[in-house]
Amino acid sequence: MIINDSVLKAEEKIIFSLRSLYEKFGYKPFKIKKFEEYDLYAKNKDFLVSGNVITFTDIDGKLMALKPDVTLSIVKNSVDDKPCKLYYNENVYRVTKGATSYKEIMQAGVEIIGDIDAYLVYEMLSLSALSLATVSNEYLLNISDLGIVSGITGASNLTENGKKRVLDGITCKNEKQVKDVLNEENITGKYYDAILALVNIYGNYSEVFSKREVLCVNEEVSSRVDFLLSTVKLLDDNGFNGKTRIDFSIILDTNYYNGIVFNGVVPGANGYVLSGGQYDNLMKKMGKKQGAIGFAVYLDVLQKLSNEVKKNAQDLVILYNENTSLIKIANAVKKAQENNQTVLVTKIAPSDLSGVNLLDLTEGK
Amino acid sequence: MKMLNIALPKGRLGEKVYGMFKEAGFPCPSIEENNRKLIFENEEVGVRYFWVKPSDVPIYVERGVADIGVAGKDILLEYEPDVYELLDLNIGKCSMCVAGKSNFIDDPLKTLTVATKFSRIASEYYLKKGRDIDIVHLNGSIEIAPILGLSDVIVDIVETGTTLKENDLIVLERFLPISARLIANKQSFSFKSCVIDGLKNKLIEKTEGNV
Repeated sequence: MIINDSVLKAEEKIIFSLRSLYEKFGYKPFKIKKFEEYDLYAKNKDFLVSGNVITFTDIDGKLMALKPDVTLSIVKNSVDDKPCKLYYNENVYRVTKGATSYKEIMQAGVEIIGDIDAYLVYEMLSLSALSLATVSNEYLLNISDLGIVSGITGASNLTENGKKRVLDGITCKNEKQVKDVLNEENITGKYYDAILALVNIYGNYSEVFSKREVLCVNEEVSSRVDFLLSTVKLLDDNGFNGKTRIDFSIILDTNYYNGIVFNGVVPGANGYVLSGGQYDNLMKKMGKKQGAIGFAVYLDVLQKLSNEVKKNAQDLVILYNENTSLIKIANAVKKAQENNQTVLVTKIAPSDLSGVNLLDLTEGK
Repeated sequence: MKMLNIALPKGRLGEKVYGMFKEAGFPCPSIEENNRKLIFENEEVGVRYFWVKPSDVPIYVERGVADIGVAGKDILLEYEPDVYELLDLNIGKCSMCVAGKSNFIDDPLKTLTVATKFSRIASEYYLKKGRDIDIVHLNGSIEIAPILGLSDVIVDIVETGTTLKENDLIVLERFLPISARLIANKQSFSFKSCVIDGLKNKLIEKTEGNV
């Protein structure tokens, strides 16, 4: 079977390219049911992009939900001691920020379940970059390490409330807010400098490398900084130079995420096209022994990016009436299709005939 | 050259902000002409300004139509847009206040009725105090609510207090300092951080005088 890709919508083309990309790296497709027990989402509400879930009562009385997310189902179905690499593209149902109704959103994604080592982190980041390249030549992959952020804030003497406000400030690059909290809580010296650096240090490998010292408040954080920088360097040296960016403002919920977190941007898209990270903590929370890392590609964000103007669907419109001979119509259709023309046979001419050839076979009028 | 899109809040504050941006290297002569246009471009320096309703600035920025914009802290706290808040411009200063009639006495046994444009800010403020309230959301002329008995108090921004005084109201508590902030779209910032940082640093020099 030959598929004419001109009939595919932009996001469908992207889905096919992503699938072949993930297959190339040995990932297996993961298919889930449309419904899950609501309990799964209720227990992990903060992990979801939005807390709203469409629920219904099943015949046996169980409260079910139309899946708002795929990762939780993958984690639930994962088997200890059986590492795997999976990809999916599924419809999910959720409320996007500011919207007042549920939407069906096509989402693609990749997950690695297993012992997440340096190579797997690198593979996940390079797959993210390649996924972004499928969408646009101009893209950036923003990368952070929650180990660095929580390592620095955790070792400082910030109170729990102070830590929360500092993290909010880092997320918004709000230097004033961060400074205010640090001053209120008498944080000084290397911790003061390092926490402010989490707001002010960002950019490509060399920009961050030149300023890295201020972040290294202790051995543990230093080794995380080295790991982040060496991973980004490896990406740059392997074809992604100019496409990677370190930015500590990517802060995901540490109840679920740890280690490397990242997101992808392309110009013109409103929102992140891709987002992901290492989520060993979610695995632990769900009673799993393995670690995990993954990302999702948000195809709804891409929809707005597509500038394709849908031209008229047909090359040829054949007009007929009750007096037209059937053989004449059948022959005309056959001839058009032999010439690779798309054809619409109709009794009523469409209102818009721009760019369309009209073959009038009406008779006897 | 990539354009830097800037959403300015219509009105006196926006004009002041434009003046600061102009001095920081982003002039746009057409904006200074007296006309009713809303979008202005200066291709030479790569900037496009547009005037929008002050409370809509965060929407333009969050949705990426504007790369950066200027919005009051009150609006940012009320709508919580997912944007970067890069700088306190130290202009447009005022306070979020609780105000009421001069003879108002709070009875803690009764639910307090609060009229406000800032429902979220008011709710959070009273939640922290553990006070049970009933919010009446209004869109303007908040001051008349206590006079007409629609509410016990109001939560609103107060600059000089003249409007309150003229309506026989007094400030019962100032609980939040407000000023104008430079905000940026998170995705745009990834691509345009050099230009935005350049502007921000020049603005820091200017705003130090406003402290």
